[in-house]
Amino acid sequence: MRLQALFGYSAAVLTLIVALATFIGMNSFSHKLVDVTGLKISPWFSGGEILGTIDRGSYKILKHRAVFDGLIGQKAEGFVQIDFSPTADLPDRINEKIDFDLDGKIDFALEYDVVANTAVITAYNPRVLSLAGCYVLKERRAVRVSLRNE
Amino acid sequence: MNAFAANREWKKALLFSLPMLLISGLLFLSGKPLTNPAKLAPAVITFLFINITFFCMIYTGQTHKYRSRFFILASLLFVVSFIANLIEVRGTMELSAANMLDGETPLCPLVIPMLIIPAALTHTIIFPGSLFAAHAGVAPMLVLWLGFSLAVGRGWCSWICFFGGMDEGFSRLCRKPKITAVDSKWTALPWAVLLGIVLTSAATLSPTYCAWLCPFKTVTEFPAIESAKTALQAVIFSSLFIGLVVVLPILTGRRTQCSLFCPFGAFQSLFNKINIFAVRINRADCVNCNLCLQKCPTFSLDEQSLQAGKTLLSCTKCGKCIDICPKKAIAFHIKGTPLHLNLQTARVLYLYPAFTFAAVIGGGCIYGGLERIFRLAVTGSMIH
Amino acid sequence: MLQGFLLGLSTGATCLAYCAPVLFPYLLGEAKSIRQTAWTLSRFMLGRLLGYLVFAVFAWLTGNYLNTLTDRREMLIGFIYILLATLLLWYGLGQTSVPCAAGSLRGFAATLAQERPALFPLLLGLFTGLNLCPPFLLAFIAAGENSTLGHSLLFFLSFFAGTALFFLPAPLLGLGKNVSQLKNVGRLAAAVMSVYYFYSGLLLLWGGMISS
Repeated sequence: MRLQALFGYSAAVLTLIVALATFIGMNSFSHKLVDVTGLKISPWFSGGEILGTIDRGSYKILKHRAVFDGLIGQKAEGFVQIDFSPTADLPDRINEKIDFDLDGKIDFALEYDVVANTAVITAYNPRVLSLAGCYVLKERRAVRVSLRNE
Repeated sequence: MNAFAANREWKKALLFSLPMLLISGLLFLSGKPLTNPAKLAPAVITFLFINITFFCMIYTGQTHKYRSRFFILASLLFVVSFIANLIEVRGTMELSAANMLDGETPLCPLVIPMLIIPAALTHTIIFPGSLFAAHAGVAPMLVLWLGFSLAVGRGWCSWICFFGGMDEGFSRLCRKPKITAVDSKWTALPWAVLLGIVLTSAATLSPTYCAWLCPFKTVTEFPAIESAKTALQAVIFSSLFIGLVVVLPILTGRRTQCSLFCPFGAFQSLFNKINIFAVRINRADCVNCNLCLQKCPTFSLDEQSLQAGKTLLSCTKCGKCIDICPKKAIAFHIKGTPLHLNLQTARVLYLYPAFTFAAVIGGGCIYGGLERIFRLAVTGSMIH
Repeated sequence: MLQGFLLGLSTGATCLAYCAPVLFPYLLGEAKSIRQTAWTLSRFMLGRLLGYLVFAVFAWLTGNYLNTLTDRREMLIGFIYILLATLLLWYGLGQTSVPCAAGSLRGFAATLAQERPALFPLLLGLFTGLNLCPPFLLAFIAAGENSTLGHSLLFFLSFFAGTALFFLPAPLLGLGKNVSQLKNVGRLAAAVMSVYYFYSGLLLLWGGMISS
């Protein structure tokens, strides 16, 4: 009983230490947490890892990987995100042919009106479904195209 | 109390308040640009308010009375600073798809239960935020939540939840509740909502509660209304806010959103199981007046639990039942220690961690809101 | 497969809440040790699994029939989702009892338990597996969307796994004592999930109308 009480009071004091450590060590604990768990923002929001970059002189085109990630396995439909940066040096119109799966074949042609932030796509691959959206981001422009999984 | 005893109580309270003075000075004031006169006044006022509140709690022995004032004020000023900040940064309370892709959404703790299954299975966070953003990044918020939950369990809901403060504020507006009887089966609803949102979030890999149900989007940020779907979502979350956070708390005098709907609250209840602090009823002193049952803001006492001398799992450790009990039969307790002994020790040991979190998080909200109000008074505008 | 598992998870509390009054008195009354309880429970779960697999075959046959019946399958499934969501809501908020076959076993159970004690948990499981509550019907429709019998079986297997997670620790945790509160959670969870299925149904209907 005494041991239990001792444990109880010790644990109660420990909670204050936990409270202080939470704030004082927040920065280091946060990085530790991410390092240990390998957590990252879901590709459904971040766009997924960048697979390749095309240099167009005044600007660059960044191709993300196609995102089909499901909770377990893959989803039937997903998207691919194409970024254009830096925004200040983008031409008024961009016409690009994109090979999203890096198989050496063009999958869709993208006509992006930078000024109006609208785009038209022409699909060459039946897996390419439609334009999902055009986005004006802080340091880049992004276009997402809906895809069907194989 | 004679003059000597009163003087001794004063000194004792002051002594117990000194650590909080140090802690709040260290944690709350650090990083504040106190050389800027426009920021100095709100910082000093907040610092004083934090410490006066804690001193009053210790000196008077009243927990709920002072905690509630602090909690409600922090909540109101959180809304002021949050909205002013949004207008300053984005020009609107609306959150566009581009903002989400940019990872600009601050992580709200209410999202946490929805993150767990996808994080465990895919190692990803299904939220459009940033891992280490300065303002409520995902990782710091997870650390804060974990630290608090281990230290104080569901005390979260009564000490630092800026949304809970709104519910509490409205529940205190009406002295005589119009609705006194609420069927206890509705206390199961938060668990049902929790189950629903955890599963749908895992299935869709998106935080469904945020998109569809969170009432607090009304006073923070919400997805830009650009389609029938987002319009429907807006109707749902604003109706839930009006119904659960404003109308029902006024009518019942209880925190209806927190106790009858909030899935995060239900989730936090689980931490009460492992938390060292609890609230216990001394059956020998209890006269079964049921005042605690009638007044508990979160329906965390029923006749069975009262007979067992315990609160229910959903107890937020707000201290109201302890303050209002006419026989002083209810007290904070440290599990494992002898029941109904050393009550003041248990209370003070609980107040330190709980108020440390409140001082830093709530204090930050109060400071942020006051700073905006001061700016409004001086420049005529809350934003730069 | 994941859909089946999640559906099982979402309805598992309800299944447990309604079947627990049949299962727990037997488990708690008969089994003396955790090992014995586990053995009885495993026979019960095996019976339950058999019940589910029987339904998987029916679901596959129905799904095939639906495929041949109409080219507006999406709209039909959307309509059925809405109908079932309404049922789910009614059963979540109304005062109805669930048509779980095990519920009608009480009288028969006593006789069987005496005469065939080894077979009893198996049959008890089978009968709780054969029920027509709305979540189960939802699983039935979802499994019917699968093109092959194997997929349909896999769907019900994962649905079973989802619900099983609620059953397995129950006797050990003594959840039988809190059946009424669990029942409330189960009912209200059904009501909450009905909103999700109602919305999914509306989307399917809308998608079907646009494409037709």
